Amino acid sequence: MASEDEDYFLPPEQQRPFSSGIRRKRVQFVRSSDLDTTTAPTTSSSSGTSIADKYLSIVMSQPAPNSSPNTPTQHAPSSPPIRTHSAPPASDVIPPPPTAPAPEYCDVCKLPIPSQLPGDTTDQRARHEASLAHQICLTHSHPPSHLDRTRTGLRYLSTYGWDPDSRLGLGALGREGIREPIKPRVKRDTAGLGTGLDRDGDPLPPRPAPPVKVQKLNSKQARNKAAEDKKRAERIRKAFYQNDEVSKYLGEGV
Amino acid sequence: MSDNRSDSEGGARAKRQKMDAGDPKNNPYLAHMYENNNGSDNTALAKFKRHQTTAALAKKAEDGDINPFSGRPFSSKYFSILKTRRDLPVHTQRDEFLQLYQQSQILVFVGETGSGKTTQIPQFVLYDDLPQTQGKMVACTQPRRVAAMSVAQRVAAEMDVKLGEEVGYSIRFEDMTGPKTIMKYMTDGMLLREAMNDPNLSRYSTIMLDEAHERTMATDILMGLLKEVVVRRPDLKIIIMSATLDAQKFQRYFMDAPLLAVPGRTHPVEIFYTPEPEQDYVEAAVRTVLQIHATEGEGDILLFLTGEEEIEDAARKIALEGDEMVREADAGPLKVYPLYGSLPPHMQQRIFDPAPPPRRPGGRPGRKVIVSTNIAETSLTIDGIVYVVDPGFSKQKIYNPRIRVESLLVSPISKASAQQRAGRAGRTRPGKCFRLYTEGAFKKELIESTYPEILRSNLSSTVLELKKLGIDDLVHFDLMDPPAPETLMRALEELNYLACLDDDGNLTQLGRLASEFPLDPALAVMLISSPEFYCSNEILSITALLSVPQVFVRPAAQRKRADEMKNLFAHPDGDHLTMLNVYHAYRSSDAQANPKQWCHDHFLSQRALQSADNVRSQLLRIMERQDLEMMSTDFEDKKYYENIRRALCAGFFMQVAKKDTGGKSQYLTIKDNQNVLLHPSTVLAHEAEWVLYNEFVLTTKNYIRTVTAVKPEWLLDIAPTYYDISSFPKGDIRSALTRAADRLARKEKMRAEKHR
Repeated sequence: MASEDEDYFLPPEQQRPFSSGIRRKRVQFVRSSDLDTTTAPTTSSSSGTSIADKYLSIVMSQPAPNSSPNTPTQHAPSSPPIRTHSAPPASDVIPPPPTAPAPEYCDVCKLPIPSQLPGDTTDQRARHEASLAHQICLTHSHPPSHLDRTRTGLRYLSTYGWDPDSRLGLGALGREGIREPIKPRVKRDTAGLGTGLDRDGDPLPPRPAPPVKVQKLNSKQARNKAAEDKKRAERIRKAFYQNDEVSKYLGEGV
Repeated sequence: MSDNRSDSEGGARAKRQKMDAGDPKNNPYLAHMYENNNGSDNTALAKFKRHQTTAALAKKAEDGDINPFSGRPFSSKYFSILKTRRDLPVHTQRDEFLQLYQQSQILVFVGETGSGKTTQIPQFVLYDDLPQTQGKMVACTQPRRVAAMSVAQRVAAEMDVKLGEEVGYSIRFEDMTGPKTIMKYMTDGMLLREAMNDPNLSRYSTIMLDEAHERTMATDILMGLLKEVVVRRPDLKIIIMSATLDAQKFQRYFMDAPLLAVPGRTHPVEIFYTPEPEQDYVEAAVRTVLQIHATEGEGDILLFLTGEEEIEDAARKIALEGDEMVREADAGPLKVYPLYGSLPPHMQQRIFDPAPPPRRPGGRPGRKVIVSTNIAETSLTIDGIVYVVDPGFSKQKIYNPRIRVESLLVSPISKASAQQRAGRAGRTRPGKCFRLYTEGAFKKELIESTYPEILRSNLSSTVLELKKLGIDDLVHFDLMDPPAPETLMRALEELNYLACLDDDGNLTQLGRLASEFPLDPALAVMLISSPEFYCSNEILSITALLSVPQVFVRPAAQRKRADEMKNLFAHPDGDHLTMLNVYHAYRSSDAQANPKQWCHDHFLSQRALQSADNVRSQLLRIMERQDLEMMSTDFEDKKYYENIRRALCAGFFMQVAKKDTGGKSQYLTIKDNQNVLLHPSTVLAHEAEWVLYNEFVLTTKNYIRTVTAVKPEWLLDIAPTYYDISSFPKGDIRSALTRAADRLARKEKMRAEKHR
């Protein structure tokens, strides 16, 4: 119950954008190289090309590693780094070279870390840790609890070892209770139980909105509306993009 | 259960006296009266070895001539009850029960309604535990006062003893036990209060928590407490009795205690759902009842609705349409009885009337319909119900710690609750249950079981109790369902503002004193500080009046007349003072000459006033024990009412609202900033700038009820930490408080100058 309501009481201006809690430090991305395109043979992918390749390999009864004109190795350098790990299409058709040493596996994301090549100066481990696949597998640090830290009640609970950010309720170890109070819902009509649900108790799709009546404006109204829209757009633009330093430099009027 | 009063008791006693003729000292049966009867040597229990008895042994003792507990011969009534007792489902499993009871310290016992667990298990225990040999007692807790009383009465009759002697009960404001008591029925709250002064519960050898599935606040706390007590007291035995089959939860909680289940005596109930959700459940309920009356066979109907108003309305509609059906379709006569908590007892009793007979011999059978709140779900058993109509709602208390409001809201029931309701149809014969929702809604909309009270209540009095019990680590206290941290924080803060806890959360002297009163901490603090305002007599009366149901009666048909009568007592400064006026008038010799008539004439509830009187005298006893001075300001003094209003502030300074600058009679609660309206029932004559309220009512609008006008200067003076001006955000309330503080300072200065 609590999980769906975690952020319920956070006022919107305090809610942080998704994934801002993953790492406090900004995640650096690097451009991918050819080497990064290989992953463990266990990770299968369902991308269209690889399935086609596999099919062909069965039907044609001969390996067709580079038969596809669209091998990922060709376009990988130009693609954004995110795709390096999520789209390794040729993986199950290209067996790792038999001479290569057994790859080292990352403890966190269970993906192989490419071995350091003699001529390469970049740290492969650091590069791996910066990859999105690794970042996603890291344990999340959650946004802190919304409770006001100055409350005396919280101080009391803290002295007995309760941590508001622990995401645990009160109670004996392993039997913790609810984290948020039960939310009261005021019912002010006599609608029966389950109205708004279908026969199986699933929510009904929202009713299509009634067609909007087209309103005809006279020229004055149209002018006013255009001015209003413009003002609004300006306000929004300022709220998002205004930079204090720039406006100071350019003067208030701009 | 209540239908079995031992009316032959008087007769039996008369017979006994005849037999006692001669020197009573020679009478072996009376030996216990003349020597210290610690081994009960002369009775059938003499050879019993504690915790080694069997059902056969106990049966022999029960079949004997002499009551082993009282030492008197058994009456004939006893044997007739004994025969029916032996038919109860629990009886067949007596041996099994005894074995488990003897083997383990904690036992979970599951018995459906009608298995006889509440009356029989305690007696099984008595014959094995023999508490009298240890100088101890067996306790059995009940969530409700009425149940504790009626069960004790029944068990006293079954054991052929006088209520209050061997078998007694103890409820808030009433103790019906004596020095001989070995079997004590009590409310769970009473046992908790006893634990405050006797943390090991050393008076008891066995404690039974009955109806544990109801999960009242006191039962939950007791379970947490007993879990600790059993470690300190290996000789104490615990039995958790529950009616539902989620008993595994209890088992797990009590370190995998053994479980014994006894089937109830119930008949199958067929369950029907609606194919589509109903647009209006009240209307659908009325139609369903009439439909059952028209098409189904003989048997009474139980309809569950949520509140008094809804019930009265539906009952009226059903009665009207029922009459029409009788006239037009020759249906059987239909009798409708509403049932809710605030209904006077004689009206509640009517639900046990038999269904009306057919209008003419051979005609269609009559039927009674009971339209009830969920009190008919567990607390009251009505035989003869064959059809249950369940719209799936009930009024539930819920507490929101963010705005500190406890409100009764119409909410969907739980699956467990729905099953319980359906079970009511199968008490006497196979029945039917009509649910006014779809099967899908039952599966997906309803929660598994109702939230226990501890998750739905303000915890300030519970925290005070726990602190008094010596439990400081509220974080790790092992409750079955620990409350939300925020709810607990609120309670701690409230107690801190009331000065019951100091800033480090330790119990203060005031807090210790407040915990002696079986009252909400705010009321207790108000009562304790009332001597400082020279009005402890009056505050005591007001406290008593606030602890009982509404004293004003307002029948739908005579609203205007009732309001006129109420205005006779009205005080322009508010409802608390009006209630006090009522009480003073009620106590006057005029009214006491014929209180029943007087109350009737003035539209007052005599029952509420009587119980207020009772509560007042109980509280008075506690106050005297705690050396609190009882005093009054002279009535002629112009400060008489002002002192009372100031004293009210001492307890309720956290429940204050200020008039909103915006709308008419709109108020804003202090600190929580909720928009509220004065409840229409208030007598407040003028639009007071600041009011103190007793209750926040969430209905169609947010109302504050029972209000009294106060002054901000008093609040600043009485509760300076709560009304710390710097803690308020800029705005209307802050500036009003600042002005009040300035006025206060100016007055202070003037006074100082005068004295110079």
